[in-house]
Amino acid sequence: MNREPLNCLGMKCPRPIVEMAKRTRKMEYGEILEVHADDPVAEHDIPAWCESTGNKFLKMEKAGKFTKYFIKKSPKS
Amino acid sequence: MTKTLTLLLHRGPYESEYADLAVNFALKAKEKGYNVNLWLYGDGVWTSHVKRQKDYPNVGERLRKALKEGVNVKICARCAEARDLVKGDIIEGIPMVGLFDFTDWLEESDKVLTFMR
Amino acid sequence: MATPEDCGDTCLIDTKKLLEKKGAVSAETGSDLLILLTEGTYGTFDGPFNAIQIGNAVLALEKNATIVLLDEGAYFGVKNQDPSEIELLNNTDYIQDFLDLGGRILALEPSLKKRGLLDDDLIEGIKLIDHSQLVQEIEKHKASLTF
Repeated sequence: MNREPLNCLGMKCPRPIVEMAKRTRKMEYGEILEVHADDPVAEHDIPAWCESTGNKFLKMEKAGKFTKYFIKKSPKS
Repeated sequence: MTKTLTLLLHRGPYESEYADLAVNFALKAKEKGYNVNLWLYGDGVWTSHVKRQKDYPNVGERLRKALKEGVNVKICARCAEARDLVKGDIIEGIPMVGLFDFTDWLEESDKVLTFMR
Repeated sequence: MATPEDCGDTCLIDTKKLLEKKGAVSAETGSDLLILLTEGTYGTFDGPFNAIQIGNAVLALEKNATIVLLDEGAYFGVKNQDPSEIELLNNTDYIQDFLDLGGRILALEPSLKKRGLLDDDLIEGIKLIDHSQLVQEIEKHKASLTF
């Protein structure tokens, strides 16, 4: 797990995805990233971004006023 | 094979001709057999706010016609939220979505046009 | 894949295969987006801000994006921007994201000259082009947006 969650609270589309893209560039394949976001469109955008880039979308968990997203850096197949 | 045309409208109704141009262009292209996508961005989102019947021609009426004719119309959710536009304020049938819906359209389009000034 | 033993004393490079592979990679890159930015920075119909959001979204999808600064858009690339006193978001943050994600920002030199701007006035990483190079950029991009 890439230890520090990526804090995207208060960020609006496309900023959470842009921040994820920046962070995952520095990760190794197999590492897991936890993202905290409260933009409603992130629920669609994050899984869609994973599908587009080959990264694996693992799960999302509601955490009060925001949602936690877990993705695994994976090579594009 | 049907070609796809994506239009981006960045100007609101009445301030210039661009809203009318974009919607009329969309209708004409659809008539000519294109698959047409219209992205309402920036102040372009206000075009969807013109939803009541009027006794003069207006872009809202044309936009409702475009939807009926099968033009795909979407609104940038961030732009709408910045302007406090919510679902109940706008013409029915236009989803408020993230920017990545637009980038998907870019990917699938044969031509892309912007209506800006 | 051929090994050195297979080649004997001669090392052959299959250039046709290399070009095919390059073409396949180019085809895979998909939406190359060119954004022509003709508006200035702050208080101008939000164009530059909205333009770079699209640029960054495309780059985040691991596609290519290029911004060309033309006309008043030349000001978008100026370094040391600080709109904090007028309470607007600083475009430099988005510009830096764009460059960090591999995007290219080009500035049309005549547009800069007319505005008394020099190469040194621009954010590091922005390259100057002339009209001929602008034509080349338009030719090689799949889709373009003008703001």
